[in-house]
Amino acid sequence: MDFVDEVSASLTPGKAAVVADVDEVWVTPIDTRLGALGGTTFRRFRGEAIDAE
Amino acid sequence: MGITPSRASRLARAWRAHGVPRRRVPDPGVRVRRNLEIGRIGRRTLIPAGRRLHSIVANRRDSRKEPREVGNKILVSVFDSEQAAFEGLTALKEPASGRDITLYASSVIAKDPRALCLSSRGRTRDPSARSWAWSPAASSGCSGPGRCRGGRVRRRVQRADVRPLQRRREAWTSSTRSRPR
Repeated sequence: MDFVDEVSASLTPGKAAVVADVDEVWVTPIDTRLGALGGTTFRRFRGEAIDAE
Repeated sequence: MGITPSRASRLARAWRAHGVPRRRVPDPGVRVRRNLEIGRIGRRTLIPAGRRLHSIVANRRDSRKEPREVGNKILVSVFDSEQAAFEGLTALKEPASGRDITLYASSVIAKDPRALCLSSRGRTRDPSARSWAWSPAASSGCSGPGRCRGGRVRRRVQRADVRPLQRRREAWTSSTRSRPR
């Protein structure tokens, strides 16, 4: 499934999302921090997102 | 195979005898590029600075030492409410998070019950990074069944990206300064 489709499926009406352009190597700290706040995190490498567009 | 000292002297004698203009013969024991700075093409150390390789002139810039303006990933975190999304954004911006990630641009989008999306852009230093965060914000939040302003905004961002970076920076700086507080 495409990245945008994944996010669209998860972002149902009434929900909100944080979109960020980040540079990260280790995903666990952010997943843990955002997961504690109830967030579902999706990631895509910038190059892949550009290719998909 | 280089020029040996005996061959160099033979060549010099021959040139002098036949009237060939004298030419400096490099000492085979000394590397020619001893006094030249080594240039870079991209990340590669290739040839002396200023020399050409095909149509590229080597420079001494090292892209690894230059600050990056955009990140390597797009991160989207979906929350049940705007309050939770705001807390998530605050958590991303916390100094403790700075050790794990570098945040270049951020935006919060929300889809209301009518499937319309609202968004708020975060301020960043670089306009291109901001526009990049804005673009997936518009596309990901607005690609559902509901119509919204996402398409129009994306087109505007794409037009803005055509401008040279310096002009984009100037425009962004002036708009930031003139913005009422």
